[in-house]
Amino acid sequence: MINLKVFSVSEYAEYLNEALAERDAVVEGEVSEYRVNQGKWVFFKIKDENAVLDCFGVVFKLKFPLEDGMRVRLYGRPSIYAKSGKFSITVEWVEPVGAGALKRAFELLKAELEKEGLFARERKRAIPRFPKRIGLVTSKEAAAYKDFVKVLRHRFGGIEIYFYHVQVQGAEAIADIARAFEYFNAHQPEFQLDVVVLIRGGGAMEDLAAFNSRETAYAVFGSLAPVVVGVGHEQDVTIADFVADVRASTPSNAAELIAPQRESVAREVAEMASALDRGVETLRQNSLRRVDLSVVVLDRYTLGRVHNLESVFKKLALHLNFFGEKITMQKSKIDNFTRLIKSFSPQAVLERGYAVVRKEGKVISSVNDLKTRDVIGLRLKDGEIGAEVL
Amino acid sequence: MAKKFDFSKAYKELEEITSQFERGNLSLEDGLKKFEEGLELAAECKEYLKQVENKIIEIKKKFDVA
Repeated sequence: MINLKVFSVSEYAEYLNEALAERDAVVEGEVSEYRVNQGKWVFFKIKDENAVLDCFGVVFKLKFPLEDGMRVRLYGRPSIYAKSGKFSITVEWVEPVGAGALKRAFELLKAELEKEGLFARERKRAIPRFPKRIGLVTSKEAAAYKDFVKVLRHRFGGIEIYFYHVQVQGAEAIADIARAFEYFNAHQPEFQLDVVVLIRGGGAMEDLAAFNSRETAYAVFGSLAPVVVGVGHEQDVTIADFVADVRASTPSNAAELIAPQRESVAREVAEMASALDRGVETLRQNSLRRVDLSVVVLDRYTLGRVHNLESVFKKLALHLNFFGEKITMQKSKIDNFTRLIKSFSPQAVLERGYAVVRKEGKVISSVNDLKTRDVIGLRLKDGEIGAEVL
Repeated sequence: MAKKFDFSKAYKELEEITSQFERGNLSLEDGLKKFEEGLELAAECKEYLKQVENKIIEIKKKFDVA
């Protein structure tokens, strides 16, 4: 006894903690008196029929919400808080155990994330119809990988698959999946992924734990590219499914939802090609019809002009007739005039038996201008003779 | 050629040309040009659809090891 080392209380608390640090372990039990302080610190007790231990943790390390009465398995380091002498386990991770606890944890997380808006319908993004580059997150060993690649190949070719291998169950799964999404987000400017696919085969609820975790939910939620989640068999629904932009029932279904069937696309292309044929034929016909129509219109127009010309001619003819009549009238006027003038001509008078008397070349019209013995000229209708006044 | 060809873009262009024909408001000159374009796109799409392989790029091996 005397030989034993004497510690101060602080020293002894430290000494105990050094020893306890090597006693980290996975402990299974039932949660009680669970409470969260300031949204950050988690306090609860873990118990079985005969023992109760205090547990302490931080919210962000607990992947699943807890609840009193829930059966859990936790990993932590035991220690004594020197200031109060209180013993507790500092929890590093915790997971529900057994179907009941898992189901309950699932419901709790689902309600919580739903409230946070992670499942909101309005934030779901559509996948382009013909994705060129896709990110694939799954385990290389899993049947899911082979199924997905096979079905995708059957449906469509020429797609680039950026494959990020992860554990899909076990201790590493959650962190692996989160890293894969981080990686794809960081490389999105370079990869330009149209979609990221997170898949795994079916399993018991324990096996699907990673897909029911808060971290995976946030990883899917935070993905820059739209996410398709396809887990397990058709009846398996995980939290990741709810967060996904598109939920596939199985890994094969994920491939079906992502890639169209090349045969049906080929049919569509062929259909469009023949629609083009028909379209160009219709266009040709319409153009021909339009040309025909133009000819008709042009004909009509020309004919119209001809009619116009005809009427112009008619009018002109009318004018000409009128003019002609005028000319005839003028002509007869002139004839009358001529006749009149002719009637005034001395020759015409002479013709009627008159004579023109001249003395020394001058026409004499009065007897007073003549005396006896004057020599005069007499012009008759057919010649002139000389004479002497008696 | 297959690599540079953007199927999605070509398909959309083909759709657009087809719908222009369906709307029927193309001139003969434009129509013939679009028709040729459309047939070429359709041929390229058909050719692309013959591809049966997808390319798998493994991230871990290619990037993380280095």
